[in-house]
Amino acid sequence: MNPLLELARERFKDKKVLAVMSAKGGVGKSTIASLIALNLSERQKTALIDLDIYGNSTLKLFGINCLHEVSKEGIEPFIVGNLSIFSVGGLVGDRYIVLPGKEEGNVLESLLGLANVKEDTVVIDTPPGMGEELLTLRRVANPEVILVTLPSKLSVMVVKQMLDYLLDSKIEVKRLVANMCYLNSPNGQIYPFGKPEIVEKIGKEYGITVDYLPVDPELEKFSDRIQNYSGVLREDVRKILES
Amino acid sequence: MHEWAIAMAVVSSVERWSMEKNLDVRRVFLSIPSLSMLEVELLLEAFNTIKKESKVCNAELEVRVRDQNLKCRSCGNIFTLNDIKEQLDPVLRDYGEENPLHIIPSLITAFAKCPKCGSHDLEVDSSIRVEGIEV
Repeated sequence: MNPLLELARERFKDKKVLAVMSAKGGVGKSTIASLIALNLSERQKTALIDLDIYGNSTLKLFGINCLHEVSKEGIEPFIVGNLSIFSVGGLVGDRYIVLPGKEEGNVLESLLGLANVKEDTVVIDTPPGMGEELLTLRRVANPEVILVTLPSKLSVMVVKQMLDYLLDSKIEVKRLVANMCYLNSPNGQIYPFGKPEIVEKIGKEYGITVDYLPVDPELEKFSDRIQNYSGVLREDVRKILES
Repeated sequence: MHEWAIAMAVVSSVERWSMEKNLDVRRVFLSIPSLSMLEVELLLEAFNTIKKESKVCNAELEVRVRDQNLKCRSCGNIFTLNDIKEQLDPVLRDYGEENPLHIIPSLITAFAKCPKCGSHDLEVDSSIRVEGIEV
């Protein structure tokens, strides 16, 4: 009997869990997960959990560089407004993490079991790929997925494999988000990778709503204080959540 | 401090098991890795407090602290925590009481290396588990 897995299941039993996933790295999962969580936290208390043990960019995005407090109830969150943030990075600081595959699941179960999540809505930032993080999340909760891709053939190809896995595992995919599709200019929208028809095609094939997000060069200025960013991407993510 | 959270996890796991099997639990055997540095007294105190509000209020907790043998998957070397004491001491010193190994012992490979070949690719039994229940 694994008490931490049981505790994790108990903690997430009645919560709405929204997992931001992609089979491909570098598509903007952490940024989108953070913007989703920030938008949701305007209406209700929300938790954001970074399951990317090795990257844990969430803390960097919010400019958090201290360690989690630990109480009788477990790991206490970092608080940003109405948002509670949890990350393994908040236990180890700047230390690199290297883990054999078998230990990954134990670390993730421990994080999810010990995170003192009080909020009813939880956004999960996941690492790229279909590794232990997906399996652990499935053991613990019933997540709804927001799948992120770039409008490139390579990205869509691997995201299609992930879609097949998710549907095969009966995990609900709420939206397919095509990130970094275009730039807004005074002359209209510029599509540096071409019109994202390939993503539209996958959306139609699988019956999933596709959202198209722009590149916002302004975002880089907020890469260590994303909570202060109120540009077009935050607004577009808000529209996705409201639609 | 998070011994209370672990004790809560044990009580609710065993309580669920007891209700599913319709059996009264007399004794619970919890196994923890020594590298977690969990305080057994605190675990017992927490368990005995939390169980009063549960359906396993008559259960006694027995905690077994397992010593770890680590095996390097790269060179095959087998060693103990004592052999890498000089690697672990700075973790305790730098992070203090609520250090990462205390909270999540499975993080040990981030901090420990094989003393023979220097690889982090280590096998270690770091789980916290209920090993048995006496009814």
